[in-house]
Amino acid sequence: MKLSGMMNKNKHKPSIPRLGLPNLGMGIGLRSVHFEHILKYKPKVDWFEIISENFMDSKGRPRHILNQIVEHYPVVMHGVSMSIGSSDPLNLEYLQKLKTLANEVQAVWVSDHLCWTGIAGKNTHDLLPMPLTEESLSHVISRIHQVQDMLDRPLILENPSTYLSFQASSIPESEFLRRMVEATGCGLLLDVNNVYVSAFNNEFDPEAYIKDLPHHAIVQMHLAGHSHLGSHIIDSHKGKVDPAVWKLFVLAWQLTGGVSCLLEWDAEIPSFPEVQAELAKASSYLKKVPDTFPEFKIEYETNSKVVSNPLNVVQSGE
Amino acid sequence: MENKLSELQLWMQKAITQQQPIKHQSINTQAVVQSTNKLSATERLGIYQTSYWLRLIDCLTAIYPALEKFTGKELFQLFAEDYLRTHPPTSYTLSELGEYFPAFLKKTKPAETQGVWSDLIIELAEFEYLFGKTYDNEGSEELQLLTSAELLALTPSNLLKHPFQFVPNVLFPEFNYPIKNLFNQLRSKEETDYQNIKPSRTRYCIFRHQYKVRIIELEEGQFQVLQGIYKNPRLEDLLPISTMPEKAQVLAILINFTDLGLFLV
Repeated sequence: MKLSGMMNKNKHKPSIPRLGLPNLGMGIGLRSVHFEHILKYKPKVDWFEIISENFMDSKGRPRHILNQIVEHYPVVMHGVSMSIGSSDPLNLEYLQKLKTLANEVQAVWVSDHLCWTGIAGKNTHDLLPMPLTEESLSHVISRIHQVQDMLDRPLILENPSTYLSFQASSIPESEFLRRMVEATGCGLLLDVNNVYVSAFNNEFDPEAYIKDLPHHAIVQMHLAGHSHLGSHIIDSHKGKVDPAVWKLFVLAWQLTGGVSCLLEWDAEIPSFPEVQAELAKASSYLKKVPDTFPEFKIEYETNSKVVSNPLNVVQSGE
Repeated sequence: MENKLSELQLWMQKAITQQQPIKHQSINTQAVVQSTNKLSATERLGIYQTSYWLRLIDCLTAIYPALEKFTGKELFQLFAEDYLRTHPPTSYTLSELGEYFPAFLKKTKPAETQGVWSDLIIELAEFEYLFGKTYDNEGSEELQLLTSAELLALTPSNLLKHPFQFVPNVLFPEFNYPIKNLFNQLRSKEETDYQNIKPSRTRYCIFRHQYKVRIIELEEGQFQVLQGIYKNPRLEDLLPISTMPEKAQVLAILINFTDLGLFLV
């Protein structure tokens, strides 16, 4: 699908082009359990976001299905293994494969997270937090430059959900992101659920965080559910979006002037129409911002096996 | 501890990938990680440690669902933990997470263990790995398949010289048990009675057709012919081999497998 087509089809108005990237409207994270539904019904969704690593090496059915989806919908690539903050050298083979996939599926943009996933050749497959220091900032800036040079496009980085902060950190995360954007020209993927999760876990004000970001650089927003364990919140991508997160979403929308939005759902994934229904709330809240958001009784999880969920393994045979 | 980025990352990775609980009130952790009103520094670090193990075991389960069903959740978890300790993930892709799992199970099988059950675990892991690999490897979907009509239209001398070319990534594994049946039962969530499974040498041809993994159990003659033609793609080189069946039988086998989509034009 061509960019001009996307702009015309987009009902949520293109607003200000960010880094030359369009406002794609309201999208859904592509998950393998929905493959059949999407191919059969071609549901009304503005765009899909794929987990890059699920398709980079696939030469089988998942890739075949993606090729068909690309014919009908704009696709954005969202990665979990770039490890932009790691002290290990960048994985050039990974970046080359990322670039190849981006070209092949005509990815509208490529994003990853402000995090590190491993060091000394290991990969924990988790989005680990950065110490927010001057050293980290200059390290990340230098690596973003390398990645952007290699991919030949701006990199879009997401604020991670974090469960700890470091004694060494000296820069607030919102300022870290702002200075990172200023130095590299990269874009931001603002995950409002992550802001809420991190704010609860690290005891900061989520609204002040969002207000402090460089809004002109926000290319995309993420919405998702989370799991509240009482003492902390896990970014499980499970269940409906918390009203407190919707409230932050509306604030971010107003501050950005409107950007592409995407709903992620990775645990106990319901049917595609149910995911669509949750996403539809975004449009309805934007049409008319409620004075108060519906009451949402926090259901505290007692399951100690709740895991943050940046991953989606495509099972063979699906 | 100096908080240089690399040192901090090495420290954190070591802490969250170890299996024993992070020491409560560890002075080292408190020096690096901030505590909050709700959680101590060690508890916060522990969230990442718990997630590391749960996530990777979940992923390994997604790669080996039949094996997990066969062993049961608890035993699978023990195997998985041992395996991940020995082979921590190094790749950016989770599809390689289970690459060494079958070999690991084989290597760590206790010497005194006798009987069907432990052998089945190893063979099932090997089979499930090959299934997953074939599912995601390159297949023949974009290539032109040979038809039996095209094969039969060749003159006898051209048939002898015809180079048989297999579809990509075809495999011919051999097992000591009828592992395909067990695998299918487990994946379709049927009940299995492994105690009634008797050793029997089984051979398979595994390849992908129309994005589905095709697994064909081979009789001994079929196995010999297909392996033979894999090594000697022309009949004129294959037929003189003493262990080959009669020419008519060889041809019948090749025509049959041509119809199943095993050869390219």
